[in-house]
Amino acid sequence: MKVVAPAAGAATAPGAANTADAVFAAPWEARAFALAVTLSGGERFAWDDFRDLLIAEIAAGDAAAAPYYERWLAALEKLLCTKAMLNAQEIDRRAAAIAASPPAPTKAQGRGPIKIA
Amino acid sequence: MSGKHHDDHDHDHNAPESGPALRVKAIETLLVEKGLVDPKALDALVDTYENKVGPRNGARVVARAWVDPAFKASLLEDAAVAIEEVGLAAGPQGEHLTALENTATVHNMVVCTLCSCYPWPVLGLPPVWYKSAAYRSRAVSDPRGVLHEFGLDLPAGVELRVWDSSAELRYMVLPMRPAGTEHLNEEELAALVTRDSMIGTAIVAAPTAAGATK
Repeated sequence: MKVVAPAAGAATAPGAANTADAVFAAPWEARAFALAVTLSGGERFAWDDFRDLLIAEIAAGDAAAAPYYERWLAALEKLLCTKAMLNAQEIDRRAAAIAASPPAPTKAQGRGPIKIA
Repeated sequence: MSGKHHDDHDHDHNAPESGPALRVKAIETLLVEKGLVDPKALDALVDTYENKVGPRNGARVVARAWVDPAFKASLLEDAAVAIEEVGLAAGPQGEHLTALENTATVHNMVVCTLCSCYPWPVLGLPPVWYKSAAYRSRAVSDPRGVLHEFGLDLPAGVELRVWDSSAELRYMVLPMRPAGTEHLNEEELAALVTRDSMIGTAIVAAPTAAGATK
């Protein structure tokens, strides 16, 4: 199991390695990150509470090579439920409601110009 | 990402969300409605870590240490305090920052064996490989093999020290200043310093002719 396959030339271009990875692969990863960090700065839980659950999720996910932020999200959801800030049923219901009502189409669906004047 | 998620498709504004994107949106909207989180605070945090905090911060710290012996001494003494001198705040995940000095006889590398602890204020968020199971285990079981995969073969006479980052202690490596850089100023030196050199999976290369003209 290799750790990394550096891009060709990366070692000879100072600074190039710094931009090789986007911080977040998708917007939801950024939101999940921000939720945990913001809430752990408040009164409801401390960073270490979250970190303990993250360690457990990472250990459990290693065999399946689960993506990092999916484990992060699982840890966050467990902590929110443990601290009675949310419960799994209301998250399920809200997720189903959002999935059932996609945002109204506000953008052109076709390929042509939207107006010719 | 598995193939079933289409949530990061930038150009379809009307695709229903699914998978983790849907889950996160459900959690965020509920927390906002309950007054437990401020969406503006989330926006600000994302902006900070996407655009403002990154390894360029650490590079400035390293360059200052290379040109200013007093700063270097205070960095090695208490990095969390010293970085304030270059305008950085310890902030989240930087409260117990410790700098490890590489020398001709000692090379340091940093891992978090259990999760992803990392010195955010100086390096931003960790790269994907830092969080991988392979790095977390092999940095301990076969650190010289890992460095070889990064293209770094340490001489046998150099002692390799592997440090485990934790919630209590976050490490950054102070790499060696490359030879042939005596004529460079602090800003030019900072441009040479890579993220990986501050994790310890690389060294700082001397500037090449190509690098100098760019």
